[in-house]
Amino acid sequence: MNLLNQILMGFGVALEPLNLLFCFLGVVTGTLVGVLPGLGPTASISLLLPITFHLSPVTGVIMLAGIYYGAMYGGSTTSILVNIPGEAASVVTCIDGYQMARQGRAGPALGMCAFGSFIAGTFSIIVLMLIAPPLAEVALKFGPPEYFSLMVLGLTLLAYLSSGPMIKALLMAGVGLFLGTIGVDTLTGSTRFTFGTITLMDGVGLVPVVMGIFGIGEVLENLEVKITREVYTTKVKNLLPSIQDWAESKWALIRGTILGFFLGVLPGGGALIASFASYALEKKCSKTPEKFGTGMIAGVAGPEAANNSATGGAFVPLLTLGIPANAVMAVMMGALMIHGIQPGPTLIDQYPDLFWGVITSMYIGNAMLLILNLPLIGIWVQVLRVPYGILFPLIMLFCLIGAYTMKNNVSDMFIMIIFGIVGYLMRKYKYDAPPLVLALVLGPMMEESVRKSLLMSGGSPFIFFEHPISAIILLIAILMLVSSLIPGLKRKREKIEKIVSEGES
Amino acid sequence: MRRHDLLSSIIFFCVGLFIVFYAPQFGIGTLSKPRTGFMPFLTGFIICAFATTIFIQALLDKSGKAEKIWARVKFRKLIFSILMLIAYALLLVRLGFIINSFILILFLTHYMGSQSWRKSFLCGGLSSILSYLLFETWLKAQLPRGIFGF
Repeated sequence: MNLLNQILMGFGVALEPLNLLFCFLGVVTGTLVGVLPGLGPTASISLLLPITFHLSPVTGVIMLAGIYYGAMYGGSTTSILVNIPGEAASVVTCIDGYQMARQGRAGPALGMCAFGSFIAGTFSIIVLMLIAPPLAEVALKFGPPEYFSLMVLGLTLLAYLSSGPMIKALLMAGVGLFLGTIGVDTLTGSTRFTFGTITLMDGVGLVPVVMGIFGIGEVLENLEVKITREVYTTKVKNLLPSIQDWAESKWALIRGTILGFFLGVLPGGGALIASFASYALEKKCSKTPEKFGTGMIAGVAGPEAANNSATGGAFVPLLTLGIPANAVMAVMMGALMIHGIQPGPTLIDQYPDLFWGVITSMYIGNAMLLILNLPLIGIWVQVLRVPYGILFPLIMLFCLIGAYTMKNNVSDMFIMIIFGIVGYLMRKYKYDAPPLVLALVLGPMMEESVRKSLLMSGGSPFIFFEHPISAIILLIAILMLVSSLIPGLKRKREKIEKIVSEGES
Repeated sequence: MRRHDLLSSIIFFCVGLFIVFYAPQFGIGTLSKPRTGFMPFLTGFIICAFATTIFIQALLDKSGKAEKIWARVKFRKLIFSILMLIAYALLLVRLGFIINSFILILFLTHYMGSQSWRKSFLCGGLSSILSYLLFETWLKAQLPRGIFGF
C-alpha cells in the first residue's frame, strides 16, 4: 500500500505541467540526439546541463533522464533507415534493421523498435521501483570501506568493459581521480593544486570537463571525416508489426528486456554492452542463426529492448548507492550535486518527490516516445538531412555557453577548451574517456571513504578486507583485473573490445 | 599504435611524476592520519605505474602495426576551430553574447562547414538570437552584454 501511495505521489509530481513540459522537451531532444549521428547521449546531456541550473532539481533530472532514454529510441531510426547508428548502443540494430529496410520492411522494423523499447522501458521502470527502496536500506548499512570497495569495483568494471585497452582505461581513471582532488580538501578545508587561481578553488568542474571531452573533442574529431547521410529512399509504411513479427520477436523481447536490465545495473555496463550481449544471445537461441544479418526481426527486437531496459537499470546504483554506473549517469549525478543533492541510500527518504517523480516521469516519457516516434518518423528522416556543417558550430556554441553559464566565469570556457583538445587527443591515442569522467565524479567520495577507513582502522589498509562485504567486492575487482591478464580470457575480451570499438567508430 | 603509446605513456608518466613530487607540499600525513596531499600523491603514483606498464607493453610490442593517426587530420580546419573557440572566450565579455555568438557561427559555418555566406549569415543570426532568448530571457541566465549593451 505504501508503495502504491509513493507511486501515486510520483505521478502527482510528474504530471505537474512544468515537469510534463520538460519531460516532453527531454524526450524530443533525446530522440533528436539519437537520430543525429555524431552526438552521443553523454555529450547531449552535458550540452543541456546548463538549462537545468535554472530549473528545480526534479524538473532538471526529469528532462535529463528523458534525453537519455529518448536517445535510445531515436538511435534506432538512423540504424534502420541509413545504416548509421545515431548512438553507439544502436550499432547492432543496423545489422538486421537495415536489411529489413532494404527488403521494404522498414516500417515493421521501426514499429518493433518502438514497441520493444516501450515494453522494455516499462519493465525496467517497474523493477527499478521495486528493488531500489530495499536496496537503499541495505546500502544504509555500508560504511566507508564498503563504499570505497564499491567505487573501486565500478571503475574496474568500466575499465574492463571499455572500448580501448584496459590498462589505458585504468590510467584514465587515475587521471580522473587526480582531477577530483583539485581544489578545497573537504575534510580539512585547505586547498591543493590551485596554483593560486580562484577558478580552481572549487575544483575542475564536471561540466567544462564533460563538455570539452565529449562535446568539443567529438566535434574536432568529426572535422576529419565527411559525414554524409543517404537516407534509404523506400517509403516507410505499415509501421505496425504483423502477428508473425510478434511471434518471431516475443522471446527476443523478453530475453533482451531482462538481460538489458541486469547489464544496466552493473557498474561499467550500460546500453552498449546490453545490446551486443542481447544480439549474441538471440543468435545462440535461434534455430536459424545463419539467417541473422539478413533481416531477422528478432535481431532488431532483442537489442532494442536490451538497450532501453539498460537505461532504467543504470538508475539503480545511482539512486540507491550514489554510484553512477556509466558516464551518462556520472553527468546525471553531477547535475544533482549542482543542486546540492547527494545521491545515495538516503535520497529516497530525503527527496521522495525527486525519486518517485523522476521514476514515474520515465514511464510517462516512454509513453510519449511511443506516441511521438511512430507518427513523427518522417520528420526525423528530414532532420537527418541537416548538414553537419551547420550542426557542429551550434554544438560548439552550446558548449561555450554551457561552460560560461555554470558560474558566469570566462575561465571555465578555457578549462572546457583545454579539455576539448585533451579529449580530441585521447580519441587519437585511443584513451577511453568514460573512466576519467566517472573517476572525476567519484574522486572526492572515494578520497573521503579511503581516509575515513584508514582513520577507523588506525592506519591499517587491511580494513578493506576485514569487512566481509568490502572484501567480497574488492575480490571481484581483483579477479576482474587478473582475468584480463589470462591469455584465453584476454583474447575474448580483445574480441569484444574490437566489436565495440568498430561499433563506436 | 606502438610509437604513439610510447609517446603518450611518457607524457602521462611525467604528469604523474609532477603530482608525486608536488603533492607532499600539502602534507601527505601517515596511513593512520592521511592529510590533504595523501590522495593526490596516491593518484600520481597510480598514474606513473599505469604509464610505465603501457610504456613497457609498447616497447615489447613486435606486431609492427603502425597506425597513421595524423594522416586524415585537416590541420588548418582543426587549428582554425580551436582559435575561434579561444577568440570567443576572450571576446565574450567585451563584445557581448549576441555579437560574439553571431561572429563565431558565421565564420565556422562558412569556413569550416563550407556553407554559403547567405546561409552562414542566417545561421549566425538565428542561432545567436534564439540561444539568447532561451538562456537570457527564458532561463534567466546572465549573459554578458558587452560594449554595445546587448
